[in-house]
Amino acid sequence: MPVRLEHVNFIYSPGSPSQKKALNDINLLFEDGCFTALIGKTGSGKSTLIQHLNGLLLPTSGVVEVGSYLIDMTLEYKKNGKVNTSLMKKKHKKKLKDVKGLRKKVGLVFQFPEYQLFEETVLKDVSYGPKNFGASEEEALNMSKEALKKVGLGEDFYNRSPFELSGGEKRRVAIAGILALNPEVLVLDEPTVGLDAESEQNLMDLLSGLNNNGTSIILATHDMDVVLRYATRALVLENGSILRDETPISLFQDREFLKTSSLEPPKVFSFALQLKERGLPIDLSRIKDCDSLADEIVRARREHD
Amino acid sequence: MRSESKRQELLKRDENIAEDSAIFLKDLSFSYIENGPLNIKEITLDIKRGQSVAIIGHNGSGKSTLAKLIDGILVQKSGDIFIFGVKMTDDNVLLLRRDIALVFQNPDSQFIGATVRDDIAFGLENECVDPKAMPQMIEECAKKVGMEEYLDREPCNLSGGQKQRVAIAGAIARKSSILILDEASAMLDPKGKSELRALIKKTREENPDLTVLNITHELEDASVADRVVVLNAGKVVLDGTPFEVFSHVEELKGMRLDIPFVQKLKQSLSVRGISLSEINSDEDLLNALCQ
Repeated sequence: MPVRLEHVNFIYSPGSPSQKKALNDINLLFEDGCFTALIGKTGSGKSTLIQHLNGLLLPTSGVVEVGSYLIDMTLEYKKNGKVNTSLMKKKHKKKLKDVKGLRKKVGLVFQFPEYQLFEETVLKDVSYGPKNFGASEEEALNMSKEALKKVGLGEDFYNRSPFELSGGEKRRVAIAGILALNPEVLVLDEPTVGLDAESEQNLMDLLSGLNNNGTSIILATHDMDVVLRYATRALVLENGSILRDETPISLFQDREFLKTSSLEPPKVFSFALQLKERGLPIDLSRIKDCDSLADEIVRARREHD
Repeated sequence: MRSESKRQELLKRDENIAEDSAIFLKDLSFSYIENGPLNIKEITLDIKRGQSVAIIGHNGSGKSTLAKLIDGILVQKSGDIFIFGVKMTDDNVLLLRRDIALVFQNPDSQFIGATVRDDIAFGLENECVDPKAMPQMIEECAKKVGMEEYLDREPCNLSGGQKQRVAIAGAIARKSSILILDEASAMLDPKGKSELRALIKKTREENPDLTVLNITHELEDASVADRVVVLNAGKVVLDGTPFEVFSHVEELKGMRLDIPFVQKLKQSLSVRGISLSEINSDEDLLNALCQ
């Protein structure tokens, strides 16, 4: 399901003294089955943008189109030239009619989703979502079991309390709660923060597997190793605007830009760049992680001799 | 009011503990469930005054539990905790805790004051600091962590990195001699992380007696510590300088821990028949590969 944003602007508390423009004329198309990384400092607008993708926030002006769902806020923008909040409220109501359907299609995983776990058992917690969307008890349980399987948690977890699990397991339960709704687009805000190396690897493998089966993945992250390894497109946000939109490899080669925006390329990539500068014919487009770098080093050295 | 002699009695040092010991754990065990499996298993550890120690381990290895035991938030099942040679008991835990500042992972969960100034003052009030001396102390500490312009701001409007700096300002203001960071940088962006790292370095330079216990997932934090302690399943499995600890590549990987880049690449290369055992820095590795 493609997601399209057209001239999206968003202002927090418009008309009040604390008014703050958080998104500035965003035009984007997230294609079906994409794996896109959103990069940007705290306060750059990443989280605001993410919340537009499933109607949690509505644009102050502009259009958000997700599959057949349309949130169109262009009219009053054109009519008034500036934002008329009373008009907006009326509009919201009309546009929000089937927001439930939209939220089922676009699953949103917040930062530290494990803070939202609340049920007595893992299975109950995961089935809360499907039940809320009208599934029967039995359907909900089946969907939940399926989702828990996807995140690698077996039957022995069903009746355990989510609160006595480790951090990585809790996060997987929380993500299963979203996956139980079978979303076509999965949006995640900093999913790997606070996880140990192995839990992070497991989570990213899960996302990568979902993506291979056609789920679009959009993730906000500070982890450039994740961006290099998994994403096919990197978007850099700054002050609510899209600053860069390209492949991770092309982004990480632009050292000047990275420096000015205080982004650090992944260690493996800067090491590959240094090797290349010293004359080893490394093909940067093949670098994803240490293993692929090692492959390239072996190949390049053979070629060099 | 507790009399001074009573206080001195409560804070009597155990003569068997070394003079320079800041935190001494002796056969410490703990379990969250009565008669359940042990989350901390007979840990014995001596952390010296002024030392900076990184504690690493995967999620669930017992790192945070250990921090809470040291601060007396949790009570051990068996074994003893000595803070500056004084054995922790129910009677003196509040007195001992004054020496310890704890900074948590989630910067939002540790604010009480309505403004940054109030929040730092809260810690000082608890220490019964003379109210007349407080304003100046607050200003000084805020300056040390670079937050002097934010004193009248609401903590909720600060960035994550700024919040952690306020938490550290509170610790400095209380003149705590032990600073425990429980994944304090985990929720920060890369810039916040490096600022926090720089602040800890600066704080240590200004207070050479400050003992820092940094519980972390960040390799970079661990590699700048004096000493790295690796926990696995509630036990200390490795303990040494960063260089010593990170040379145990296989063991670290077996414990689901990340290893430094150079080690990782060396390993990927050795699988492919390029063996470079003597190399330990980026620069040496670059040189070796470009020969």
